Amino acid sequence: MFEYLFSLHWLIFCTMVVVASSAYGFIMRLVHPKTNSFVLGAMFAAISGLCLGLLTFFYGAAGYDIEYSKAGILLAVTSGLGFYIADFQTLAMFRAGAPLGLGISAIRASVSCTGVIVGFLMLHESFDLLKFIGIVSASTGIFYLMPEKEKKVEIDYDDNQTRQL
Amino acid sequence: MKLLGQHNWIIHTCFVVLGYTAAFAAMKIGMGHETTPFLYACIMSASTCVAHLVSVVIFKIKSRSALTIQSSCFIAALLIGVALFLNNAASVLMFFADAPISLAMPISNTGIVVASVIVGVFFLRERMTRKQVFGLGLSVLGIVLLNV
Repeated sequence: MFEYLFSLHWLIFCTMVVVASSAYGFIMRLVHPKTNSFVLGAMFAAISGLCLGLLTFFYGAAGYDIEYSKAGILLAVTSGLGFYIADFQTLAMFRAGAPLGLGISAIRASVSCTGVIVGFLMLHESFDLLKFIGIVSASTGIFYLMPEKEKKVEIDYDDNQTRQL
Repeated sequence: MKLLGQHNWIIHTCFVVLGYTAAFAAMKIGMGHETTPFLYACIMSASTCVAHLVSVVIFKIKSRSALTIQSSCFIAALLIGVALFLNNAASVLMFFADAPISLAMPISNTGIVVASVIVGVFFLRERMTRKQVFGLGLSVLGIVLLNV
């Protein structure tokens, strides 16, 4: 099975990432408002973890080496805690009325910016003019994506006239 | 500040970004520590699950009210769980297949943004102003430039 999977072109997996990630956002947007976000989070993380556990098991059973280190496990737990925050805050974001398109766009653009900044400051990755233009472009884009301030409407009940303030 | 008061989803978005940044930074460092990516993703999902379970217990102790779980919650959890699994497995396989990061990351990130906007506009009847469409274009350009 793994030989066949490894022989596939990376664009197929890239398409799968796009479809799965978009489906994640779409279903999160549709979740019932009364659903407890922690219960839901525990359930979907358990399902995902179980499937990944099975995949790891079959990977090992196929004869491939399964490597692990103490630092690797600790960092995986840290990543998991980061995703925990992101998961329940994504639900909270949609419950607070975020539109799917705007919310996901703002997240993706912001994470790309913070990723480059963290990479430069903490991991000593390169930072060039192209990345600087990218940060400026994404930040400006996020600013324009933000909803406009709602106009206050005052109704004069005496003569039934409505005017914007 | 008035804008934040009217649209408090922006505050949650900031926390989502914070969570993802921490997760991806740890993942980037973790990939250099000789851990099989499938196992890494599995431990990651398990720790997310444990964190959520701890929160459920804390929520239960603090609220002292009965925890009701709707049947729709099971369906949503199943669909999200499968989507997350496919996302994680496909991400790992994409890099096993020698995907050039400078191409794979812009394509996947831009694709997710475009697909979300299309789904939002056509299925959820969301509306976007001209200013927001312009902002979306700039964001996509920024994502491409940052990931090249």
